[in-house]
Amino acid sequence: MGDFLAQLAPDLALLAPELVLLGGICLLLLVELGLGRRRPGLVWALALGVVLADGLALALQVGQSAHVVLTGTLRVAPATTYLKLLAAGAALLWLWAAPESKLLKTRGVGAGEAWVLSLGLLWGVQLLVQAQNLVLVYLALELVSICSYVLVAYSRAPGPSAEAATKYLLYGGFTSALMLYGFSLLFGLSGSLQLLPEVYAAAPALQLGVATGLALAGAFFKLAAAPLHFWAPDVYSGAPTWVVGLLATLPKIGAMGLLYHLAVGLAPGLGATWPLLLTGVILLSWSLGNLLALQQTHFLRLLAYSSVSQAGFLLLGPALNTPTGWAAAFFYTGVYVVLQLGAVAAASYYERCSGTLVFEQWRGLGRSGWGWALALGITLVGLVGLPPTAGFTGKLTLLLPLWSAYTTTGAGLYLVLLVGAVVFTVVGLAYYLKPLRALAQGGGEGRTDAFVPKLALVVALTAGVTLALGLLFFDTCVAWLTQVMP
Amino acid sequence: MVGLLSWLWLLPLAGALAVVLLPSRWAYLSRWATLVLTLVQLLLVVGWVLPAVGTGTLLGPTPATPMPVAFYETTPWLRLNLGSLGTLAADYALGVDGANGLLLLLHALLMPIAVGASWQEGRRPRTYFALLQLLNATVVGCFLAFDFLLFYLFFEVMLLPMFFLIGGWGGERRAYAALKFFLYTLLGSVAMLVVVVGLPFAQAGVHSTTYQALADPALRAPGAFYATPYGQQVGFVLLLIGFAIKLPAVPLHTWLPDAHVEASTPISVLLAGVLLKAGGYGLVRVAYGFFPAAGQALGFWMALVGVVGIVYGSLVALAQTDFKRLVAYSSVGHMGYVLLGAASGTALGLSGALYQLFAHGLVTAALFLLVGVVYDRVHSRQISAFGGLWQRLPRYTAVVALAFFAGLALPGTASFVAELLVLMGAFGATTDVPLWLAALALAGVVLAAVYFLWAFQRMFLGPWRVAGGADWEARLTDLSPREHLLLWPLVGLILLFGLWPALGLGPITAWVAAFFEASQTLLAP
Repeated sequence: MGDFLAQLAPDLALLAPELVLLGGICLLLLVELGLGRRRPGLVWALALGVVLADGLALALQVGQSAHVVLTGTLRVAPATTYLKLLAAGAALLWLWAAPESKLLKTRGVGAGEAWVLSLGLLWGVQLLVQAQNLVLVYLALELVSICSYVLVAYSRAPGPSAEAATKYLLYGGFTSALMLYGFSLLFGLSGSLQLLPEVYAAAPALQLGVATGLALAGAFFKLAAAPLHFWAPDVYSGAPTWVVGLLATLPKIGAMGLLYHLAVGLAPGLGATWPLLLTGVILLSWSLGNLLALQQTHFLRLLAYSSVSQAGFLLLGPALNTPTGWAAAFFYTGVYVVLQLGAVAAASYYERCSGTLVFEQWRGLGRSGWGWALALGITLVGLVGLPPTAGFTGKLTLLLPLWSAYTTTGAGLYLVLLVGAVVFTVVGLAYYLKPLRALAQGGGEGRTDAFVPKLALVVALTAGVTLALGLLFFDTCVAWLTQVMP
Repeated sequence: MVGLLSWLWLLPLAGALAVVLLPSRWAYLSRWATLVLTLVQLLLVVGWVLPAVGTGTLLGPTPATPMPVAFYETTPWLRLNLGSLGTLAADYALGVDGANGLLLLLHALLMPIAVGASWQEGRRPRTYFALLQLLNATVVGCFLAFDFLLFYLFFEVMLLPMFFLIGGWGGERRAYAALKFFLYTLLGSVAMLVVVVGLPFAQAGVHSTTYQALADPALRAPGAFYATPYGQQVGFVLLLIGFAIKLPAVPLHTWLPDAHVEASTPISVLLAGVLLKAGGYGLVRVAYGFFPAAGQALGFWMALVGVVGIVYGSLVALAQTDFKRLVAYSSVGHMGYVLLGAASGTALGLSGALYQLFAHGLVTAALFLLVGVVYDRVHSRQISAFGGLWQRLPRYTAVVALAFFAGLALPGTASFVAELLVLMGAFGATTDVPLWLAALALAGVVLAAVYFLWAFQRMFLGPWRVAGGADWEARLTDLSPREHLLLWPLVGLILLFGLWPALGLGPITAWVAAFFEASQTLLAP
């Protein structure tokens, strides 16, 4: 027993961020119980403090080499620390702006629940990105899911929010079942729960392929990759806007981490089946997401369908499954998170001004407050993938290894992906510009009289980062990621 | 370090910022600020850059390039370490030489003219002039760039201000036209992107994206995709798609008439006068620069596309009832000469193509301004709505006559020199351009004469007749001093460069000669 504890001590040191977060959540629950009614601001500040402490603990881990902890179930590596930092940063920024939500203001009592659930979501994501044990993967994924379900239904009123939560729950449950079935097959094939290549060395390819396809369902669902994207439009448009900011970012980071561990464990045994599997999903996501996004008039539905298409881009790196490919994918994940935060923040600002997220009714709003429109413009141009934004450099970094993979292996698959990536970038332009055009047009009655400092900070920060990474600095980020990928 | 050349694009960028930040009660100052800055830019180009291009003097650090460069500045920009794939190295490299010198002059000249043509713009002037300056900065950057990634960056960012300028300050169907323009040209850009991500990796060692490194066949690793003749042709065609859409070449031209009809006059001037030229410039500098052998091999197809453009553009122009559409289609026709000249594989043809970019920029800018003159007064551009305009608007008619003559390439105008060189190149082509194609292009010259002269006859000759009755008669006044000021410099330059072609052709032919020498290693059988 003493030996075991002695072994555990260094592991716990590596898990400091998660422990900080866990302690914070418990503390928050208690404080909310006592002070939630009288001092909601204090509870919010405490939640921010917890995320900040988590972020600091993570920052201390930057530069450490990879370790396997807790009897091999978790892998703490520079790449996972990067993803966790990304998640903590997104959560911090978003919790900072969340009190601007009308819903949270009117709700008053019980707003603390929102912070507890958000931190739970973050905790789940942090576990997910480092889990290399099937049971732990499942637990972390379910933690993310359950927090998400409750957050979507946060308004408690019957209506779109409840409908979205129900759909999310049903689709989520279905996907979990698929994934668990895959996991049980994987266990049957290997007799082990670990996601390591040597475990699956002797597994027959066909069975391994089927099991992997099923196991990937969980990641595809979180990424909103087709054909597991059906929840996205309803959840994006039905959930409270501030919740969308969390759902559009944190679970995606978790899914990328999960994909990484699945790739490490399963891809070597699959050979050419792995890229083939992902290519199918990528092409389906691109075509469905883009086609459906073209018709949307609701900003968040547009963002939801466009995120289906973006899932295709996020999956390019995993499809390549090379160190460079993963570095590019993780860089693009960061860019994507920044862009999504900016887009949702700007949208919630315009929702406040006009009372709607149907962007045709935002007409003229861009004329009175051009700063907001400019920031949204930079974000949307980034989502299209045009220079001089991080969206362009992110896509460029994805395409470079894709081309190299095509020329070195000669597999037409990569050429298809390359051509698809550039063609669907053009399609994206057709819908991403629509909200901007509405904002630039005259004829609306809406006025942007309100200045919302909290949202303004998020919008300015994301737009600034988008531009900064679009012209400079991105080579440093990618170089660092390439260097730390094993 | 940011050198002197950088100011040519940083100055407009600063201007854009300054205009946006003006308080609303000083909004009227935005046009003055923009005019002053563009004039300063013109002064810099004329007084400082061009003399050096003319004499071939090198200012700044010596570039490692065999081509004669007047100005060159470079600084490391991006070093993208991709692990086992090597490092992608993009430089912030700018330069001026014979290929882009005149285009820089053209752009610097058209900017203040466009500002002058926008003088009455009352709709959101600050945003308008800021976008104009942003466009200015990106076009200059695109012409100056000596690094492919940098070029691509400017080439694509250029679309954004143009999209908003057409979409925000255009006519009835402006939203449709702006999006069509953006989608078409972006499609071309992403075709180019495939080459951007691939070509540097054909080099062994460091994957540099400078023109010099990408154009050097010796740097390409044997066996790399772009080292093979097939790979080079693929790369050339991908680049061609990008530039042919921008140029535009038939059948990728359909965005152009819509964009022009919906855009306001100054925006049309810049679109036809400068942005299309960026396509032609890219074709010569990038597509031919990187893959001269492929360009040589595909000579027939290039010439075919060019001649189809000349003939088709002219025929469609002949059928137009809208004055502006006529000018727009005449642009399509005239840009065909650029393709034909480049396709001929001769120094004459290539020089003619580059000179045509410059000459046609002047001519088409004048033509679009002239369309704007009647449209501003009566809000109609129907050719059939006017007749005998020369009786009441003699000065206007005189300028139109000069511009039309330049349009149909009458001797004495710059376009005559350009088209003559192109045709001489086409008839003496070293590539497989057949004689009948060259002869067809010659027929295009006649067609241009037909549609211009016919339009002139219908609108300006005969008895005075306007569709709008007395109301129009009162409004149809002759050129205002401002319009004179905008038009005469263009007409003057058209004549100057037509009567004294050596002035512009000197640097161009020097560059073309060096270009053929440099690419000889590839062109040798």
